[in-house]
Amino acid sequence: MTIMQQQEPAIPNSHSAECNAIKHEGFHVWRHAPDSTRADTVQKLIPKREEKHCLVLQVRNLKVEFTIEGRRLTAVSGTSFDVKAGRTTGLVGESGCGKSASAFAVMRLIPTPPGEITGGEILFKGRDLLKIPIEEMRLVRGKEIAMIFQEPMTALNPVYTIEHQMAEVYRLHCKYPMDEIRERSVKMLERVGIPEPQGRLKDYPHQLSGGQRQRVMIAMALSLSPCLLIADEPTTALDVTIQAQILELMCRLKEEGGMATVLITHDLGVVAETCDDVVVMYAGEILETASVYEIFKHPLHPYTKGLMDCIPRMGRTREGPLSTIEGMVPDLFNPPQGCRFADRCFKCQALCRQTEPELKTVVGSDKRQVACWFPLE
Amino acid sequence: MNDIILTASNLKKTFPIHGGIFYRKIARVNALNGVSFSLKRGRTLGVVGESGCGKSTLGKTLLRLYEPDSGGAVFEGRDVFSLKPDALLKLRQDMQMIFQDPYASLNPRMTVGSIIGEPLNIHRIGTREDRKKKVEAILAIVGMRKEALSRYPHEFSGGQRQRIGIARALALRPKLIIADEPVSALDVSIQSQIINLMIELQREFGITYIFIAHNLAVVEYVSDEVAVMYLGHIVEIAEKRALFNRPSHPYTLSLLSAIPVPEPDLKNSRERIILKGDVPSPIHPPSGCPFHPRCFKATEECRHAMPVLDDVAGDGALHKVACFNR
Repeated sequence: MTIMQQQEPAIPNSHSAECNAIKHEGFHVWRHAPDSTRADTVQKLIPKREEKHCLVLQVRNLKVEFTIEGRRLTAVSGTSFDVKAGRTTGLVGESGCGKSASAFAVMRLIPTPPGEITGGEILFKGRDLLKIPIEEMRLVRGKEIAMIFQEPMTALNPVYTIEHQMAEVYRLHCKYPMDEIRERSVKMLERVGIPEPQGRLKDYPHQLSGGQRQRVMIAMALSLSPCLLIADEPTTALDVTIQAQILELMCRLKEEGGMATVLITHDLGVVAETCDDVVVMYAGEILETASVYEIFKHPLHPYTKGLMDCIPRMGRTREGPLSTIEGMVPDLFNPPQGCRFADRCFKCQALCRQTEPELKTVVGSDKRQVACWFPLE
Repeated sequence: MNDIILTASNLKKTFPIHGGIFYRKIARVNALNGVSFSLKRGRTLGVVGESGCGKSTLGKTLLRLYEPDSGGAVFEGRDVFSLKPDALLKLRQDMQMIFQDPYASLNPRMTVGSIIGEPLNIHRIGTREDRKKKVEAILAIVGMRKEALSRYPHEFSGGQRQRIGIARALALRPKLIIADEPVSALDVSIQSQIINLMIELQREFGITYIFIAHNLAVVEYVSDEVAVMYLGHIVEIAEKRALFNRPSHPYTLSLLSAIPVPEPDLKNSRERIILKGDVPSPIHPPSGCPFHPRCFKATEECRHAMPVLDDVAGDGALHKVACFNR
């Protein structure tokens, strides 16, 4: 394998103004030499550092619905967010807020039926993933967009060796000879910090610990250096000391590769440590987007503020009861008219119950958005 | 408040692993390796540690849901492990448990009323009318409406189910409640409601808690004393403030630094200890100190000898640690 540098045309059909800037830039091209006829299927674009803020993914008005027992449930109702190269975007919210559904929709992995993507656009490097045929989507999955899941034991197949499962992604996308696949697998396992990777290849998933399984999952996801990595609660099933290892690994890999990451989590601590941008979701909608510093220092939406306040913080003395968000998440079968957070909101007024606020850019800020009639000062 | 309600001394519990032909015992999992502590009335002992460290086994052994291999526990002068069945039943009136998963711990075929009333039936408390009134009163205490009584668990959200679980534990007015990860299956906004409820109940009824959790921030908030467990050993036990301000065991230190802090400004300034490797298997625990293969302070001594839990401060405050290099 050689790594060559070469002038290549930029991402096709790029609508984004920010992306136009890099059309004239060069790309690193990984090419499986010497067979140049295979090069087209093999080449892998790795964005260079300069494109850091190029939009990799734009989700526009995404709508995901599920039909359960004849009733329609809107899991994601018209969300729009951007993911930039070289940055980690956190999708934060409680269970059922639609954060996983959004991510699965990007991969077109929503189980159909009962689920269905009923509207919107998912622009990945300018191309609408919802419009391409499923065969083409299969070429995108694993190669350009990769995903890691919450529970590494259920995501790995228990009856195949690690080697078999790691080789799958190469077999599907690259058609390398066996010995090269093994060589690359060993390198990937080394990169994610698995000791004695040669020996581990012959192991089955149950022979590895939870943390090591998650490392294998990450190695598999990063095998073909995807432009976008979607991590669905990657550390929720792990212990804190192992979580710290995995988070450190993910940060390191981000620095190395310049890929964009979507991190789905409910843990605000994990968000603070790993994310650059944060998208707060509630009952299928986006309530607030901001940079991680802004959102923790100065949350604008009452829900974001409530979330921040109700987690106990280390090293603080107990002063009265923890603050809570009273009530419950609304029933998504019959979502309320108006703002979905209105029932639990301390700033709720008549307007909130009548009309739903739109996600709007905050006046006087660069990129912050909030969906609230009465945002916090 | 020097009234000791529960003392555990040198608790040991192993689980056999069967296999091979004739289903022989082929190995043992050492879940508890000599755990001792005492607990004061009306206080909360937080037990933290990673999965497999024996914290849940400790809770279940104290309730005698497991029989220990050796060691003893004394609850209000009664030796828990030598009680006859009828005396044990009596004891369980005073010791109750709240479980982690509010979906798995409530019988889906029973109404909420019969779930909460079941302990009252088992212990034959009062007449039928009395019991009904009691159940209603308890439901009000945990902040639920009377209509819930005739409904089934699946009709409720996770947070409400956990309230039902708490109500069931409260029904007998126990003196000690062992809460095994009571909030880890809940969303953060619901988690704070349940924590507040538990603290309020403690204040009102003087309940003693053993609060088992892996979330250190929650444990810090809830507990008075904290025990840190690793591979079946208590490696450090101290008053909350002492433990969080002056952690003495390298494991406690790394556990504290491993927690992601929800303050992005601290991301780069904070010193972090990232432990290498995984928790060793409790089937083949390492020799000497169980933490030595991952410890950044380990010396030759740690490989051979097991440090005992010893006082750190010497000023009378509870702070014990099992480490040679503290």
